[in-house]
Amino acid sequence: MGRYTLRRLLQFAPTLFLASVLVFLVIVSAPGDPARIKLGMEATDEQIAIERARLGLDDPLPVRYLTWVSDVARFDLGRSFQSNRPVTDVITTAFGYTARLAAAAGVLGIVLGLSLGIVAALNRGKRLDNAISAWAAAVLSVPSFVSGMLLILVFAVALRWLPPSGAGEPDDFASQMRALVLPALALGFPFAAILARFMRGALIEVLGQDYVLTARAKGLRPATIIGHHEVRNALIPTVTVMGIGLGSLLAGAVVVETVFSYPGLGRLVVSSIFNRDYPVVQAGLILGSAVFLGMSLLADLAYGLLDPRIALARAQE
Amino acid sequence: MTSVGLRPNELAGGAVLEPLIDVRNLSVRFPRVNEELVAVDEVSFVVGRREMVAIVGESGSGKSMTGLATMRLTPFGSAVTADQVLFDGIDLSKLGERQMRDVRGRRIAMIFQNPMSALNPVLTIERQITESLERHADLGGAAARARALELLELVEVAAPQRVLAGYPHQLSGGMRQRGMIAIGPTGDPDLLIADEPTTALDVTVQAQILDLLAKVQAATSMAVLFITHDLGIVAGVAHRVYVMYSGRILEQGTVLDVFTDPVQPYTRALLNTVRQLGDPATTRLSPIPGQPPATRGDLVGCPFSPRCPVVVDRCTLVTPELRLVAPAHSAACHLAGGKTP
Amino acid sequence: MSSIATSVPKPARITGLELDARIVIGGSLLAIVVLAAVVGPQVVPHDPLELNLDRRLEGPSAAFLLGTDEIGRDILSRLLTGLRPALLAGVAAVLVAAVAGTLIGLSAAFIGGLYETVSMRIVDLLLAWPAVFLALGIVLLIGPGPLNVILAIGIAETPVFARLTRSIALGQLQGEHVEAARSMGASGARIMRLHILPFAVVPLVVQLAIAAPIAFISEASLSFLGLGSQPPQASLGSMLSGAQEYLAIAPTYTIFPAVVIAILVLSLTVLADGVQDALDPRHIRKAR
Repeated sequence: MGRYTLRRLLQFAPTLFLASVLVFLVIVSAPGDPARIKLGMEATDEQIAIERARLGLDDPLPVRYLTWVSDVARFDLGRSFQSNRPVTDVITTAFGYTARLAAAAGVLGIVLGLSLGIVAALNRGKRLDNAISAWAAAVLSVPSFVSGMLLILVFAVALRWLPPSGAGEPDDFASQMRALVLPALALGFPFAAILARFMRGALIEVLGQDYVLTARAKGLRPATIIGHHEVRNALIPTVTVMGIGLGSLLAGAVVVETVFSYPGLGRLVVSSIFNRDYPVVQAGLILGSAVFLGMSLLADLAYGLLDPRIALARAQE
Repeated sequence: MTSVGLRPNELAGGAVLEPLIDVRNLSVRFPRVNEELVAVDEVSFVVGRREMVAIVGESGSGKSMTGLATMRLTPFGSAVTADQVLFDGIDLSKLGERQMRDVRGRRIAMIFQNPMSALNPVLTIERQITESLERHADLGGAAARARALELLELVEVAAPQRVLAGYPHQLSGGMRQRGMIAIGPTGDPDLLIADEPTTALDVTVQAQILDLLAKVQAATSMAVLFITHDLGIVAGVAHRVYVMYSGRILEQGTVLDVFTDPVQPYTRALLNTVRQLGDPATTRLSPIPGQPPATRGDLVGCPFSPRCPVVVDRCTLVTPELRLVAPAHSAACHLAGGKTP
Repeated sequence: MSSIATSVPKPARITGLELDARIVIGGSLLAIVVLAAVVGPQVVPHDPLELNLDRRLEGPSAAFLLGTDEIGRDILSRLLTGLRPALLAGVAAVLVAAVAGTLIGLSAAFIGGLYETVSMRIVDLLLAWPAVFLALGIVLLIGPGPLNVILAIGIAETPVFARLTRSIALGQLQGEHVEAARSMGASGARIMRLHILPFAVVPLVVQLAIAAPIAFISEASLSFLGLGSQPPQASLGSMLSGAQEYLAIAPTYTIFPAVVIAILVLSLTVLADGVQDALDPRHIRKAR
């Protein structure tokens, strides 16, 4: 098992390298002169030239890449053009909020999605299954910002149960929790729908397998069959989807945070794009990429751990 | 409507056996939009205690479905009916699903054709055996593991400890099938239904498995209902045989009777297709002309008529019933009853 | 005669043609939306750019059937004019992805070697990122605007198509019919045309049906964030962005565009589901 993990990690390294190159290229290709943006409109050409030299903007690309990598490795991400605060601070605060939101949405999605998927598969063809599939289709048809706005309309404006925006008061845990509810719903429901669909498909696939027939022939109790054989086997591919889905929660957060004015990383990155606050954008890209890649790696590892065929086969290679 | 089946206590040879399971007029149908498909058509059979009985048929004959129907494990969308499914005094057809679950594995066990797919790929062999032990033999932990080891030794697995800890894909085909067979006796059942247990194996391994089954049967005094398409296996192993075609039983009797004096043209044609090792090299293969039947709706007449070499008009108009042609031998053919040419 | 009960489902009987209900419903809804998009700009009751500052943020009325926005423009007219670019954008993006993806996938399968390894690595890498995120990054690079959004989404969806065509091509290339063709001197292009593409059509169509809703949602999201059509052009996403501020005061401003987007994507999803099941016999859910 350890060998499989090691192999996967080794395979991950070139991917990481490629990813860093891509992110770097995106950053240097972004329009606008970072030096000019930093110094503002009134800066003179000389000042800009000095700043460019200081920032190393005219060095050849490979050099810039290496500098960039070493900066990132030391967590030196510069300062925000907007606020002049260290980018690491800005990013960490924002990421904290996003992480909370993603966690809430993730838990909601996993619990709701898996249960609905299992129920749908076990009742396939009947009304319950059709209802759940219809629900999933409907949820996935509505972009998260739309559902967010509708949620605000119903729960914040009409019913006034929950706040329409923000993250709650700094020291008031209860208000922070209340502020999380609507965004977590908006973000978590599509995740739940995707998981439900996938789980349903995987479980139906499993249900048709011979070993399920064997299990029934053994006279095992339905609970044992469902838990031990059916769901357990269907969970294996589902875990991979979960991993990737969790990563994409962060992408969805971009939009949801904007709708709810939630001070997370997504909203930060978007506003930074508009403000051309490149250090922040860059840091956001790096962090986001690291999370996505990390998630897909974890999902891959989990799959190998759960399915003995994969782990043992790979270890023997 | 009665079927004149073999009366178990009139077995040729005089041995008296009690019927363990007595199935009358079992049918498995699949309702569709426009019609009803018939997989098993009014089939009756009996298995006595400690007997080895075979059901032989081509694919599509309904033999596997018969076994599944006995266990009430037919696929989604099927409708199963029977006059009775009497097992050791209990009518299985009248049981609720819960009670049936108590029967499965514990009183009647079933093993399947392809152990690669019939065993759960992500569970160890040990788990798959002890699972059954927990359920039926009330054994847990170390006791279960010990018993699992015993069972693997019973099925002559060479390194039982290793096999226990292994997963299905790590074992050879023969080993997997032995593992599958080992699960059979876990609940100490009276009847084992073996659905084509050797079909997925090499010929040499087949022979080993068959010997093994006989040995296991002797050791546990189970009855065995052996479902197969392979006549050769039947001859060496079973006491009695039922020949199925297109959902119906066309001939039944002791293996000796059916093989030495086949009455139904289908059985005769079937026996003709098998070449013996000693036949001269120039012997021609004689396949049965035509196609095996596709799934069908309700049928009047003999299902073999399209391919029968001695078919007459009556065969397509009236459904032939099983009739005694010898004390322990029946056939469903209008041309039977007395010597046939 | 006792009957051993197993669950016997009622056979599905829909239209006389036994068409899956989803294809019928999804298809008709989609047709309505497409019709509205095509004909829309011609039948608008008002000029979508016309300001009526004295009638801002109104609900539905006789003059303005769906109400007005924050600078008094008729929402209905803006919806009708905004549909066409939204539809075109989604379609264009998916087509870009399909074409680019097919080219990459097929060439990777054919050329093999280092080219294949590198390109597939990049494809896998791109797949790790969610489409919206990728599109964001690309828009960052090339700037906002409706065409750029199409390009961005197209590029973001390309990896899926590339993977798909490559695996199909690889599968087919191993077949003996290709070996035979090659031994008779068939050129690569000929093999591609006759032996590979026919097998790719169905999966590609299915994938298109799956990718299209995602493209539409991405386009709406990017427009919502302000990276798509720039004002004063009407676009569904940007309309919702404007509506957001006035959520409490003018709820209909939010609801109508939301409903339109939902119908569009829902009809596509339902249709795609039906098409997928119809084309793939393995996915038989009802007892057929």
